[in-house]
Amino acid sequence: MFSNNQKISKRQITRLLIYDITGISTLLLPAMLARIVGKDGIFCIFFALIPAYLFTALMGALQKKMDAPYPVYIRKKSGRAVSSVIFAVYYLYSILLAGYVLYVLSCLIQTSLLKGESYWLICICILALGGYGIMGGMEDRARIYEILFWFLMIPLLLMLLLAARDVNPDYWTPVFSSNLSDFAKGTVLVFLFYLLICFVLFLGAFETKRGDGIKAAKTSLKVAALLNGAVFLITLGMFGEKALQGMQYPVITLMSMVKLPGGFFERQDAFMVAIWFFTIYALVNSSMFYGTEVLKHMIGKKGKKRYVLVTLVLTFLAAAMFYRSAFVLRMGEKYFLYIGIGFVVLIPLLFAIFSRKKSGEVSE
Amino acid sequence: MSDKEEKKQENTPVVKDLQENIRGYKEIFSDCADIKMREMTLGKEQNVGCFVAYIEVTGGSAIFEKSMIGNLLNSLGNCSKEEIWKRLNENARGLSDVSPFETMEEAADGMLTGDTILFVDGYDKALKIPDKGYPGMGVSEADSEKVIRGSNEGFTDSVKTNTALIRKRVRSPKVKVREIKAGVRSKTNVDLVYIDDLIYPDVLTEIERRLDGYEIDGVLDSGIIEQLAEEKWYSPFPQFQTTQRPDRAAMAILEGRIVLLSDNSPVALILPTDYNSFIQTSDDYYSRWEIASFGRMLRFIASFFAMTLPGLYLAVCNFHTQILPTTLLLSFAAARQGVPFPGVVEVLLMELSFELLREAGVRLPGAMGNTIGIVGGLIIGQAAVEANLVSPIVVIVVAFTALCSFAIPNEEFATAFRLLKFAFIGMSAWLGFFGFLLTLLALLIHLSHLHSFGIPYLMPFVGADVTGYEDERDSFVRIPIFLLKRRPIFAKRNNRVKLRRKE
Repeated sequence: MFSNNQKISKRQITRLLIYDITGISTLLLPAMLARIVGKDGIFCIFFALIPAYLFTALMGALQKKMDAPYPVYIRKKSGRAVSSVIFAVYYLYSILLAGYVLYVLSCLIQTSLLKGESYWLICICILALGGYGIMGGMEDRARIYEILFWFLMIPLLLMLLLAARDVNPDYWTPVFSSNLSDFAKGTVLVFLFYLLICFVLFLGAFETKRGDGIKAAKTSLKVAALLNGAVFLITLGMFGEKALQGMQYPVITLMSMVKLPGGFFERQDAFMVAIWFFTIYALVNSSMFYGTEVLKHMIGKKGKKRYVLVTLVLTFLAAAMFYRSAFVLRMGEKYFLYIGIGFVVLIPLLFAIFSRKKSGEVSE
Repeated sequence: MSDKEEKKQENTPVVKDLQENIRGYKEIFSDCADIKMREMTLGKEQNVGCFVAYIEVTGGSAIFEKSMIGNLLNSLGNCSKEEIWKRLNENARGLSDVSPFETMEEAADGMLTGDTILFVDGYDKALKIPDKGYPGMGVSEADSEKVIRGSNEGFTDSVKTNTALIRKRVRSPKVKVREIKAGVRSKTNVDLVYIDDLIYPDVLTEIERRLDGYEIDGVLDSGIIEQLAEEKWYSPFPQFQTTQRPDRAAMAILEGRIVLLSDNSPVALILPTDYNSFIQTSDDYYSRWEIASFGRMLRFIASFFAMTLPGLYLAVCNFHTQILPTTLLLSFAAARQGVPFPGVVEVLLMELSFELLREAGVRLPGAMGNTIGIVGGLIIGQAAVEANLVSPIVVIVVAFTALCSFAIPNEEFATAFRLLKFAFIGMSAWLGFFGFLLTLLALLIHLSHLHSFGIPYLMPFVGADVTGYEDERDSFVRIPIFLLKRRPIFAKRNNRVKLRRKE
């Protein structure tokens, strides 16, 4: 009998993580990398896999030591006061991430599909669906993305293949023209996107088999790197470095330029936005979901709906702040880059180093 | 009658005094002109009184000549008093399907199932003896779920006949039939048919629990049971599969599912179910795999367009015209010239007209039902276009959407798409392709939350690794039948092999 035990398989985790990483990264990375490091961005995409894999190994090592789900383990190891601070950091990270990604998605919809429509309306609609999506739990979330996976990936790969015909390889050269500092910045930027796998630690309670999350993280990093590499090379090859630097969403512009054989559609960028709609929504949903889980452990009282409501409200506020204030937006980006990376890597590192391995199964 | 009096009457025993039994029985069925009661005498010396009661149409005029009750009475006609009682105790019960009752109420219930009740003086039980039964339609062709290849038999209104139609196809002693009474006053017979070693016992327990969860006056159709027993009543998607085909039901129990048959209903309920089950048809397995796969893919695509096509049309034409080639766009614009309504009004007008036509076609008798299709489709549609009320493109879109919904094999499942279509129209008209995506995502979230007796509705497209991806082989496409070796997720885990090649 199929039991609704909120456990998800490795396949489901992999697809979830691929969505989480590739959606936002394929949208924003090409222009960002072109601005920071120019043509060498392709190397940053693959070089950033090194710290990403190291982080995955760190998570794997920590998971072996854990005898309980990650939030429970933090509570056990560090006591109530310290764990509350750690939860607060994670919660802030989740909310800001959700708010930022929601802001990006709402702006994308506003510019690509609904010019002139209210940002608030778009934001609230996506948020409402985000809340609805969380209510079913992890298993229900995973099902949506599992079923959508090939419906999104196949059109994307097809469009990239068609776009590749018009690429000018001269735009890719000369390479190694950036300095070390810019290269490091570019790598850190890419690593920031890859760091979205940090939520794997929270997946421990939902894995069917222990270790599935880590394996899924490795696979999703590979896919993310390949996809981002392909998108970067194609957008660079189509537009050139200077034009790419000035674009907001180069991959969407790319989709508008690709001609499908047969001529039934003149442009299909509006349809292709659906890919980013679903993938970026997945990240909004994931961030809010993990944020809700952290909040639940932080406060410790029962009742799912109130935590979801609080998370929704705070996410909306974060998205509103990012929209209304360019200063807050800049600060938010800096937070992710410097503080976010630091905490998200530091917390599991400290636990991995200073806690002893306990025997026993992961249980709630 | 008050509850107290009803309770007192529940336990009125059958006594040896025939006259008292007669008095009690006549009191129960006072003012029932359709209940026939006859007093007779039995025995060699005609000194043993007996009393026979039956519903008029369930016993014919030949009741005493050819029926089982007639044979029984004839056989007791030459016995002494003591022999009569001995025979009733020993031999009468040797007759198949004769049931003794110890209370008047049980006897009354027994007669109301369509059989005859016999009381004998000096015998403290009432006997229910099988008879002609209630009138009903015979086995005829199924109204819906037409197939190109395969049996055309359909279920009838009689639960006994329907059970027999399934047993005819699965001749195994492992096929179990559990009978339940539903409806406090209607006491409708409800049969749960399943194969003992294939089902998960939890599912059977759960359906029994749900059937027992309500006290309702009457169950007149399986539809009432379906609505009372489903988990998410607000979902437009049915959580029970329905069928009027015995072969479909037989296939279902061979997959490890349970079939629920209700008396007076030709529609069986199959549980658990999933999205994939609604798209499958019986002749998917009778036809070769290429055409079966093609049909399946067509139906899946049809189910998507049945819901989304009008919304997509509105989104593209009102918000994202850049998608269409210029020539097509100009053609659409030319077709819409002179139409005074916005696109959404056009679409809603045509959709609602079509729904009215469909409803009228169902309600009208026989030949007129066919005529309405011609009247509606050709005359009204053509007239509306020529009057510039709607554009021809909208007529084509609506007609194609209707065709797509007709391609969905299960009517209850197709209803969900018919209803959701309006949500897509509304959201697409309001927010264009973004509205379309929001609705699609909301639908996916809803479907991901939906279960049918523990089985996720989106199986086997999700969680397919549970069955080693076997169920996916019989979903979007149907692989050759000799490769479908395992039963789907519904069957008990350790009993999933259904096909083996003999070496």
